[in-house]
Amino acid sequence: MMKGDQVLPSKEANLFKQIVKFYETKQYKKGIKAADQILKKFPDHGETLAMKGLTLNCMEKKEEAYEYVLRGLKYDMKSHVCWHVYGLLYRSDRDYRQAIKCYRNALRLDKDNLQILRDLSLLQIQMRDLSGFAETRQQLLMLKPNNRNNWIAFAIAQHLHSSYDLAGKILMAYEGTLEGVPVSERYEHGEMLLYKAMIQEESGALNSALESLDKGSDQIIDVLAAKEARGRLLQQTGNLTGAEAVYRELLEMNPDNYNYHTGLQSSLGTDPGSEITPDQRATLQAAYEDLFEKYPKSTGVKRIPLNFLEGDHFKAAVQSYVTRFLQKGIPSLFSDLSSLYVSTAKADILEKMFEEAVSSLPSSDKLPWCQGETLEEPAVYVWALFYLAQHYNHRGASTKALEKIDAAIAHTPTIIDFYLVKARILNEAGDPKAAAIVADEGRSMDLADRYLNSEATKWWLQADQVESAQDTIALFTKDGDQGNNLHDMQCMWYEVEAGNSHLRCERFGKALKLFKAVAEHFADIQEDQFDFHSYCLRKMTLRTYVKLLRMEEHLHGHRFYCMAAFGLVRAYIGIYDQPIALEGSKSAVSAVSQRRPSATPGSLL
Amino acid sequence: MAVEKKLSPLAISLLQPSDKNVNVLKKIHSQIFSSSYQEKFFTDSLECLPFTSMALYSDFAVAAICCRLEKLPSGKSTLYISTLGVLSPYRGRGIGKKLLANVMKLAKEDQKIDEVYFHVPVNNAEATGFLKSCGFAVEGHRETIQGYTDNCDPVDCHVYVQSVSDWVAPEGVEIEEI
Repeated sequence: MMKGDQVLPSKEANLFKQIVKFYETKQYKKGIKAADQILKKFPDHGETLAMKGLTLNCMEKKEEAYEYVLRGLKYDMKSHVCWHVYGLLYRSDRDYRQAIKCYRNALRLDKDNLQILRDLSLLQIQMRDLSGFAETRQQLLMLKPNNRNNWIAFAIAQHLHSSYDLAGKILMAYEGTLEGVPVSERYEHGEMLLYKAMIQEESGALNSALESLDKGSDQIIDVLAAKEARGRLLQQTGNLTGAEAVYRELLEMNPDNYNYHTGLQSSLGTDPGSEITPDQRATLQAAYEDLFEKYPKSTGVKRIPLNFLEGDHFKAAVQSYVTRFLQKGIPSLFSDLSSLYVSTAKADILEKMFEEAVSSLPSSDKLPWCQGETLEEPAVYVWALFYLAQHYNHRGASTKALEKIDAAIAHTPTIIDFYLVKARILNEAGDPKAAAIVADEGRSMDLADRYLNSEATKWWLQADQVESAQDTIALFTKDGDQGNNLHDMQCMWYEVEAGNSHLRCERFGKALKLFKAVAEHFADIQEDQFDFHSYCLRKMTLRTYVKLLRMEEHLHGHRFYCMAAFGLVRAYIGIYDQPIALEGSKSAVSAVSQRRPSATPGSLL
Repeated sequence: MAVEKKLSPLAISLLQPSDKNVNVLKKIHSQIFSSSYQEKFFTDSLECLPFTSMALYSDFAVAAICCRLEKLPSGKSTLYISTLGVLSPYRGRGIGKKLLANVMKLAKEDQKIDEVYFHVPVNNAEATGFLKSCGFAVEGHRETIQGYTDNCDPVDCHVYVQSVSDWVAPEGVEIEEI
């Protein structure tokens, strides 16, 4: 085919432009009409055929679409339009590798086509072809150096490629091209400066990062992020006094942010999470007494010392800490304190404390550690019982735990949290059926509470009562169409729990279906990042964008994915091991021969 | 009780029961009363809003009052208080009084209601004192029914009637709106 055959006369050439416009404005029917008009005269015009195919693809006519695009390509192999369209088709099918190949062919024919380069760069970053991405972004920058996004994207490409130096230099060069920042772009500019500091920090150039922050201090809008970065950087450069000052300023803004507390503690010379010396403990204790004076309302300031205090100091602190929780009837007290149980000594102190409270409250209406004449309200006793039940359950003493929770329910049978804890205790004691019944009793006391509904569902599944579970969860799904609705909402805890229940009951097919649904959600989540490649660049949310990319790279380490993957493997093995019905029918035999090969371990991977 | 403890009143708010949380109402009844109440009792009580109500202390229910509206041929109505109960750990703190006073206040605002009545088992000595403290005239009961069985085991009961217009709210029964 000669190229000359593919050149349209001006009337048709104009029509072709229209097709493209119709496609871009989603007026597909008009696009098809225009294409047909050209094809009537020039039935072999490749680009028109391709555009018709692309339009058909958007009208959900996939097979026809591929047919037309391939025919177009056949007539005009040398057209970058045909290759680009072919790539777009693959892209819409999420077949990015094929799409990249098509774009590359298109670029071979038209190497400076900005649209194709941009599309290619999106696919490359989505597929994490980092060197390819860097190349494409470099080309785009050289073609259009006056576009801000091209500078930024090239810097990101180098950053992701671990060329920190280059990435930093690109941003600085870009800054050099600026002649003042318009007011409307002040936020974006500030973000760019923060991103530059982030790159420097990650490259280990801590002092340069600090310098960038100082220099940009009057241009950075996100002051909090800048301050947090300063604290971190000063810490890492060993300027502990400076870091301490910054963290104290941050605590002044929010005394309940645990990151600031961790920062402050490190700047005071202790490493949170490792053993501390008695001297360090004394330093921390003094610091927190001081913080408490300043921020008496902060829960964090009161809770954190419980981690490092020991012995009598711990006892006094924890007594005053729990008093408020008990008096206010805050049900989460145990989960708040449960991390302290790594220390047996602390667990023992808590046990003794709460036992004493529970035995003294009914007669005296006083907490044993509280001075003064104030009498406690009656619920303090029942909340203390509630704590003890969870305490004993945590320590594996089911009988005692049950005793306490039953006493609590007998005291005030209208507190629904009690039923959920009782369900947990029963389940851990090995009676999931009883657990489900108790949880359902709790659920029945507030039918408008979705959390209770989910809890009851979970326990029904643990007890392998899948039907009760389905009936329960259906109460909160739309129009009783629970299967689809739960899938659409990516309700993974349900799918995993239900899958595991089917596994236990050896219904491998059903289990497989649910676990695969979970895997699909993760594919969707990964797919969903596609839109952010261009969006984040435009909005200049660069730090967050890089964090998103990194999160996506570790996506499949997520708890739900792991659980579903293990479930899938077990389900496949279960199917493989399942004895075949020996009714002597031929179909059973053929089922064996069909199933066995497809279920070999090799095909799992 | 060996030592008389001075107990301060507990702050409560009101909650109108609905079909979503009627099981809480049932829990309160099964915990407090020895007789078992049928489904019909609760559907009837739920139809008598806002008179039927529960008392929330912090954020859970500790008491309930159930009522029923009885239409008279005159076009007026009588309000029958079928049950009033407070979970035992929360008694003696003014909660029952507040619930009853609230019902009386609502009845007073309702033009159609002239009288409120209820049954008290003859052997319930505490009840008279309680009613008196709630501003009820308890000099005499209208009649005594032998073996009264309305949703409960047979028991001899006095019937008390309180005129709505004569009732004056005692002190300290205001419920703070939250």
